[in-house]
Amino acid sequence: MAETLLEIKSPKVVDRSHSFDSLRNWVGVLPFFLFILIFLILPSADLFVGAFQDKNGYFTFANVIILLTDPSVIQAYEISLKISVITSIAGGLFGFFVAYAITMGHAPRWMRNILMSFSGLAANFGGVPLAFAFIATLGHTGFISVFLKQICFSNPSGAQTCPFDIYQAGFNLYSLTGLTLAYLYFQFPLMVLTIAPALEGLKREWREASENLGGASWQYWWHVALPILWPSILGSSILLFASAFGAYATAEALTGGFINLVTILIGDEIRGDVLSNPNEGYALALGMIVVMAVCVTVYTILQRQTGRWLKS
Amino acid sequence: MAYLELSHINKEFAKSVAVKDFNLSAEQGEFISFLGPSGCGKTTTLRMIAGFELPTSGKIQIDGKDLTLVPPNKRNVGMVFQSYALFPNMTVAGNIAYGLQMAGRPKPEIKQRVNEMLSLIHMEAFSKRYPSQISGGQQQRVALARALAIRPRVLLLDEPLSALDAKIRVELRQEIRRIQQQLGITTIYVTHDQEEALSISDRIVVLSEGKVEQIGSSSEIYNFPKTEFVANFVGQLNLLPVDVVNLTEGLVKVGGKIVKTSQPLDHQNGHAIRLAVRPEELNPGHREGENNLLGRVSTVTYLGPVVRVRLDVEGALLTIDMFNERRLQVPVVGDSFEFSFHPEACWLL
Amino acid sequence: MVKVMKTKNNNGWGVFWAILGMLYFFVPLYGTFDFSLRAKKGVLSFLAYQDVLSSPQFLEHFRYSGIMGIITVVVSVLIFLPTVYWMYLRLPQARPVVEIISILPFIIPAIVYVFGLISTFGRPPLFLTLTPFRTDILITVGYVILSMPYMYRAIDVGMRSMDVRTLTEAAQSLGSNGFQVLFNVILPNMRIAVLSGALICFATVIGELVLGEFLVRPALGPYMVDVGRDQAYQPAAMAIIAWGLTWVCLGLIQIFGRGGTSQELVGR
Repeated sequence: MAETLLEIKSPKVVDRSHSFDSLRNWVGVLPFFLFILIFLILPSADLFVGAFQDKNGYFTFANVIILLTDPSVIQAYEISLKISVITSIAGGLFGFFVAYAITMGHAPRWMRNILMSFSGLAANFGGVPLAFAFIATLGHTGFISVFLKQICFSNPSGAQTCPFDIYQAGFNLYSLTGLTLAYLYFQFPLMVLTIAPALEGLKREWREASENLGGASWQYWWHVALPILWPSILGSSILLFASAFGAYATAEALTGGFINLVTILIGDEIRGDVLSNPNEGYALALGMIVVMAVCVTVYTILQRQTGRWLKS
Repeated sequence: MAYLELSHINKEFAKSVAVKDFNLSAEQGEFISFLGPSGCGKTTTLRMIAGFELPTSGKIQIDGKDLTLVPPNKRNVGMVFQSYALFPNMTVAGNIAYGLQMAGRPKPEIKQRVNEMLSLIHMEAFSKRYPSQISGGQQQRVALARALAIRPRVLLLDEPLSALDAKIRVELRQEIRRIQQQLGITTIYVTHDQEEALSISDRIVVLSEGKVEQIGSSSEIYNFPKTEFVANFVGQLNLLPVDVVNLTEGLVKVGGKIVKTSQPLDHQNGHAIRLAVRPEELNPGHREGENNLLGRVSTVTYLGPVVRVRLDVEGALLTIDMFNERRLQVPVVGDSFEFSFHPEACWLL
Repeated sequence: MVKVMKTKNNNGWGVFWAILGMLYFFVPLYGTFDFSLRAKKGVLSFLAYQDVLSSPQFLEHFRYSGIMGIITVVVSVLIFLPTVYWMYLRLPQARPVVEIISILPFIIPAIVYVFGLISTFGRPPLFLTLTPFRTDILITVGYVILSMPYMYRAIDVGMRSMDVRTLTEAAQSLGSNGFQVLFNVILPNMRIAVLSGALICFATVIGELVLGEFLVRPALGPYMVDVGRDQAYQPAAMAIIAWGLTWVCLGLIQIFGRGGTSQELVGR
């Protein structure tokens, strides 16, 4: 009797096996994953699969081959690549210098504030309003076109010459050049926004340490600042490239779809305008996703590298 | 002419004066600390020596040459930053070699000097590591080696140990002092930690709100503080309001008892006279020939090697630090407590 | 011989690039504004604006996009907020996966995505493109996905600045259940973050073109393109109005938010 009373029973240890517990933890995020699966993964998979099918649903590489051989497709990729590269380099350089002016260049505070807020604005101000703004500025009767046309000088013979008529000189807003200019309007602020944090991450002490050890300004940039910054610069440029490559609205609104970009081509395909083989559209879309995926992957890798140095 | 000479240095910013009339003559090989609370101007003065700030007026001379307007990259002073500021894209060896690279020294010379520095800081095995791969203390040593590699005329350190653990701090400050003595290089060391300054400096400059309060050796600063600020900032200080008996003889009265002090005041500068004495100079019990006073025990704090007792003496709170001994009878709160101190141990403020 | 130090380095270059930058921003904007005022020959007037704002189609399309914007915000918050909260609390290991998912809309351009949506959901048995209502569902989903990177980012940043776990445990120790914690503790502290996300979301939907055009819904974007084809001054007016709207949204974020959010806006 006494023994049973004294016998202390240790409580049963509830064995929560890890897998059960962790499974329960995933319940909460299930709605999200389901949503993504149905509305993002599924359509993409559909495109992926469709790219390798023919009209009757059989597996084929034919679409991909057309992609690589059809001259209009090749041209579209060429033009898209061209505008993306040009705007990412030009926008990148210009954006870098403006970001430099904002963060380190000791420009007056009011200029810095304006530039930062407008960068935020302009980077979001894409597509249709942008196209209209450029038409209003550089179109045939646009503000700048007219303004330049009215700058006239007197000839020695007494007549007036107005040498700044840009349309006479061959400029056309509704061309690749015009589109490039329009793209730059959201490219360079995008660069400013993404590179300014990196520039601000350059510690003042690094510059001072370099000076203290005898380095001149250019030596600091060459040996310290640029090596630290190049992952960010490259990363941001890639972001710019991807942004231009995937852009549709600006091109459509500005040129009405006349310029043969890959995005425009896909748009035509959806409307059933151009290509006779609907699956070719899938291949086009797939090609586009591949390009963008490569960009974003490289960007992510570069971001990690940046984070390591600029947080130290 | 001293090796490093700062004459009448003033620094004003738009809204405030950071440094007022700073004067210092440092001999070659001296280790001088700038000690003071945050915002006292010690870092600003250091940065003026380095060339990152321009003095509003005054002159900076090193080895006879006037450097006041010389750009920082031409001064040949080595600086160790509080945040180390190692270049993250270069290895340890690359960082140390940077200054020599900038000077255009030939590669074999650079290599040899880098190895020399690495063995000086005992980090030969780390030459190919990157700053992100070494600890804080190690980064600090690399920063030191980098500054020393260019054989600077003066070494400047801006609170180099403040970001480190207490134990490493003690180790490293000894290390820095050892290297400094080995190389015989004139050094300015900025810190807010008085223990640091007291333990490794030849002389200390105590600063407050941009002004120099006192310049002197560690024992001078501690035992013979010239101003109330220095006395309060460095070490603990008891201040007891007293009634004056005879100022020129240094005689005052505390609650009816006569107290003799060693440093008579020649004038009373308008405010009430107080008796200043450090807690460790007060001894329990009665001693003939010394000042003897009575107090009531208010709190007793056991700190390990020291027992800190707060006493109520005529309404003022006094702290007495006693060495802890096993046979010590710890005072009880509320007890009456007699203590004594030598006239030489106290002074009037 | 002794080079005098410049007190401020590179002031000249900095100002130069800053001025150039500001010019590039302002000139098109000013040009557009000027152009938009010239609807009446020879006179500066707001005629173009009057035309735009009084046109019933404009108002109809604006209303449609506005409503869709609000619905998108609500749906986004309903989906993302609890998910991020749960992730912070119980499933930090899901973080990398969710972050990659949140960037997916950058990889998949809108035009490609809408292609996928139509081909997947336009088919039997769903036929989501058959009726306006069903297409509305589709377009809402599309908007939510397209604005996901911004909304997720905003909510993530907001939650990161709170110590979610500790707050939840404190609330639970005082007797709240899960929902109460979410509504009474978490959400009020996330007001600013959610507002930022909502404003960016809203601005995105208002200005969006691709989904509206290809799913053939009366959104503002496609309407503006159509108008732009025929008319001259009204498009400029609409551009200024759109710019004004975006500016208001971002301004509100700045006012309510903590400044840093403007750096996270990544555009099209």
